[in-house]
Amino acid sequence: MVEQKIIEKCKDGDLQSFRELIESVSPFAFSVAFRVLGDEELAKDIVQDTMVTLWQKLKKINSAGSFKTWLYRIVINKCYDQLRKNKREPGFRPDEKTWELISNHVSERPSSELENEEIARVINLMTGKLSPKQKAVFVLSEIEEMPADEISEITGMSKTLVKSNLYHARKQIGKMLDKYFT
Amino acid sequence: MTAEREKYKKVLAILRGSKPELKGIDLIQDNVIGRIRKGGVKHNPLTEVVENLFAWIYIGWVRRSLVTASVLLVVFFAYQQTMILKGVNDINKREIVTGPDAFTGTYDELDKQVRMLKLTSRGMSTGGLKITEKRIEQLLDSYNELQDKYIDLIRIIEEDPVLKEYIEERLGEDKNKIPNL
Repeated sequence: MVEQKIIEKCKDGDLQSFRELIESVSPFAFSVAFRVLGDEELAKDIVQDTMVTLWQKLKKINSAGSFKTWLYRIVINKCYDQLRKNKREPGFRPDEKTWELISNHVSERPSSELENEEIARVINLMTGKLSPKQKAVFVLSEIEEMPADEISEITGMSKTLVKSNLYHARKQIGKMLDKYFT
Repeated sequence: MTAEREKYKKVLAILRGSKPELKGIDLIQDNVIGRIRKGGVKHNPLTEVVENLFAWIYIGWVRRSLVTASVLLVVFFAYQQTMILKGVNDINKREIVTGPDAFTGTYDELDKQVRMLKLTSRGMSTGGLKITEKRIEQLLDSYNELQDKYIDLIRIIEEDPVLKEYIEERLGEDKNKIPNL
């Protein structure tokens, strides 16, 4: 993901190297933040904040190997904060247009990629009823396809809790799909 | 495979295949570098110390334990307050003895004061009445003397049947004189 050399340069305060680092890691951070939050602009803000935090805490990174986990941990924690702020906003609402969009993509062979705005609609529809933890675990496990060990490290949850949250998220989404998606 | 699982897999496949596209990465780079240059993100030693010392509060189980402990403390506090209030109410119901009635002396004096308390509990109100210790002692002495004389009198009456009969007769007459209320 990132070369140790770049990390070392950034640790020495080299902003040009940090610019390179931002370029290489931002898409990953954005992908996770966007899929968890379901909002492009908020996800961009999270990426910016994450990069600033990264600069502040670079000295604590020992190896490029642990960098990815470290980065995702910062992103997920910032997403949690954001989700807590959004707590009062209405969650899931059955949305005919989004179901239609999903149906169209499912029936396509091969199915085409969704645009950012479409991804946001689908994500919000799927995860609107999930808790922040369930959302994070669902995105990391089911969409980003990370193993439970890594998710446990990123989220700070035990492996059992990760599995439990994933189980509930799957169940919730499955029920909804069964009810609304024909 | 159930229909529910089938639908779930199809939707997941769409989401996995659609990678969100980050537009305007240059702007993000500029903003971040700008924030760093402005110095708004300088390493603050105090913040670092605080973060290092208290970062453990962000651990899930620690947070949950702290919340549980706070709830228990609040419950314990409420229980304690209830018990104190109950105690205060009990104390309010009790008769308060103040001033010279409070015992400070020897056993004999205690005996006198206990007898005095017995008297007051039989209906003698002390509210507003000012009385010196000397007068109380005089009263108690008279009371003791009277009680001794009464015992002697009863003994004399018991020993003399004629006298006893006479007194009973007189007491019977007195009883009849009392109007029936």
